[in-house]
Amino acid sequence: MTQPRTQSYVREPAKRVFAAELRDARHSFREGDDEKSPTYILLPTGERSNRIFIIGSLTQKEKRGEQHSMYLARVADPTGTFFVSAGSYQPEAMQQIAKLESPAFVAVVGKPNAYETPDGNVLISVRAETVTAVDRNMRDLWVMDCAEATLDRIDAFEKSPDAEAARREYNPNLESYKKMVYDALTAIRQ
Amino acid sequence: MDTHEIIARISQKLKAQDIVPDSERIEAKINRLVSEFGVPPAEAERTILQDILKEHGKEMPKPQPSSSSNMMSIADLAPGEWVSIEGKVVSVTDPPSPAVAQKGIIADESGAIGFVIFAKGAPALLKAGEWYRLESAVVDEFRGLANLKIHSGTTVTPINEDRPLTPVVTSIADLSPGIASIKGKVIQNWEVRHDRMQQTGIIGDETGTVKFLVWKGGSDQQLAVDQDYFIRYAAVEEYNGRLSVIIDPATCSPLEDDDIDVRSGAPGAMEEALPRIEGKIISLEPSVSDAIAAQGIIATPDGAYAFTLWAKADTSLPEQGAWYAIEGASKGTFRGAPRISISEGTVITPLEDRPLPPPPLTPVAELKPGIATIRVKLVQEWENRSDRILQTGLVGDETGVLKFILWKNEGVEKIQENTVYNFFYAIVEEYNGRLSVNLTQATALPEEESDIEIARDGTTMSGALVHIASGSGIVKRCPEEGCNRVLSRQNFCPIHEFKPDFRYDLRIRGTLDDGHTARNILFPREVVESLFQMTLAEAQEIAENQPLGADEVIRQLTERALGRYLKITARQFEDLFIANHAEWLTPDMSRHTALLNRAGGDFA
Repeated sequence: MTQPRTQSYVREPAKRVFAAELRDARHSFREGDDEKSPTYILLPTGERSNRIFIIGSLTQKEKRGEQHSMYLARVADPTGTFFVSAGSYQPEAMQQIAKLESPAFVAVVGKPNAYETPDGNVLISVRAETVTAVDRNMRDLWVMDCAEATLDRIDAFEKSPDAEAARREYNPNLESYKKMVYDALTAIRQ
Repeated sequence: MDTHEIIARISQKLKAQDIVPDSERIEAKINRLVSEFGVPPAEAERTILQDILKEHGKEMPKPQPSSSSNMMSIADLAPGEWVSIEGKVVSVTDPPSPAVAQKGIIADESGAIGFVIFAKGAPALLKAGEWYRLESAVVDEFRGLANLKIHSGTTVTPINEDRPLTPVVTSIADLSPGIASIKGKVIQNWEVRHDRMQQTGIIGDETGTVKFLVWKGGSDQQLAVDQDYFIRYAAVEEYNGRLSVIIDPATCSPLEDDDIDVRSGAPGAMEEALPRIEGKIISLEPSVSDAIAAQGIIATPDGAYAFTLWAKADTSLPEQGAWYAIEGASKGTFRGAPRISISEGTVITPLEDRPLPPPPLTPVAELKPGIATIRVKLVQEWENRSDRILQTGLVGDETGVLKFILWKNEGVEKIQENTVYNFFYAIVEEYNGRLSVNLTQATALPEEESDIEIARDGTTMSGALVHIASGSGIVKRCPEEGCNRVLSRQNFCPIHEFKPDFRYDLRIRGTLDDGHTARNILFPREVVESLFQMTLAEAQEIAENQPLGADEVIRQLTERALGRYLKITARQFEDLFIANHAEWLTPDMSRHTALLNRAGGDFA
């Protein structure tokens, strides 16, 4: 695409990633020293992500706290579970989660965050920007979209700029991610 | 998924909390979550258990370490339990990632299970060939298989005696995912196509054959073809609906006295078999990679196809421009386009030269993935993002425009502005729901003194609507001739000040995101009305009569639109795309098949 000269701000595209791959991610980094520079989570298949788009099934939601309340939600895709949160800084997402009843297909746009659990594991949670109810067709479209994006990352692993970091941080078994993609695709009803 | 096992586990845990389980209700909940909502069985089990406990005002029980006297047999382990076992480490493998300290297989007389030790807080690593008592390990499920997690709270005690351990031999026909020991003969050795793979091929016994894999990182030993082996505790994985056995050569011992009579079932291909075809080799690009000897295009009287000639095919390279008969090839799909695969067992016979009817021209609007001949001119040249690309941008004809790409290659030249070209046998691919045409191998024939009028309908793109910006929904516009600016909430126009006689309009300003690029899209009123089933009149009715007014309009539009996949046609103005048509995407099952092939192709 031609990049218009006038454009000063480029919105980060929302990467498509399966729960099982995001679960394996633990390395985060920041581009530049600026306080406002974005933080990226490095995906094991070799691409940075500052925003992700997921469609899955909301299985549970839980409200935490009274004054500064937040919602925690579990969203399952065919490969595993995303941990989604929305607090007072994400009022739109919080209200949207509050209105939803589980189980339901939901589309989530959000930012992945790495944090360390008390027992030393790194967990990735998704701070939601928006959460909306969708139907199974959209879920199936997402599974295909995510499958294709994951396969593209695997195919580009030799030449993508973030792959070197991924190799150093994760030394990923790309074949097992390919198998994950295959298994996820078989979850789509023929 | 075994619903009954899940019900049994949930029931057992409910009984432990003095709750009487209702099997029918649990089963209905499982079906709802798993079948209707596609939730993985493990997540469904957890959700249902927690929901029922909550109904009874109880918490999920924290897993209790079982007492050391309570040793379990490995064959009885089930996911979700804390267990203590005694077993022999029969193999260890290189950790797949730095987060894992060690992986391996531990066995007792009853069976075997994979184990994993995570790097954080790892207890001492285990030694292959030693017996251990493991107390308070956790059985979890990894890709559908039970797996033993040894964590910082697990007590690992070496048992300093070598107890007898006889692996139970499973015949190949009876294999299922898990750990198994087999006696078999290596009957085929395939070329290795992956960095991490050391060896792959087929092993068989009297009951059947199965693919095997040896990953790098273990012993360097190669299994010999035609040799019988006793393979202890190999991991059996299911992929693509078929099994493969992951072998550590260190656990294999040659069987000298046996001669296994292998029952050969031909390892069938994923792709469909292609009847004999006759055609002319239009283009040929040799030595693409180690696995691929050549790829190119073959034209038959009924149409042209891209083909891949695999290195393992026992045939010499065909010549460009010559005719051949091809028998025993198969046909698959690559990026939405049919592709012929020439591999082991394909026979290629030269034929005498004969005339080939000229290929028919396809209008751009009617292109679909495959090989096509087009008559187009350069519409727009795009900035080059990769040094492997010679030129990329848009080409078009009277019916539409589409992306083209020219890869750097010998003899390939850029296409020029203001010239009409005929491209014979171009490759049309579908990528991210959009068509593009690869002109690298096409024969380009420029026309002199001719021109075509390009359709200016704009470009077609698809993606998810990931953001709806403020200023969307119902807006008020300045009624002054030629102004049309959006008024503030107080009906104030920045030029014409207060305008109480405004006009209403409906629009959405949003972001369409295909995972690579996030584009600003403006959906004008006609598109919003047809796509969201809300007319301007209805929006006005909501805005004027409901307590939330215009906010209610945007809320309803957001609920109907956000997070959904769309395909739009739009014209670009600077960084904004104005849609003149938009529709919801629906799942395309041929894309599904193509993706399955792509994900499973290397394992076929």
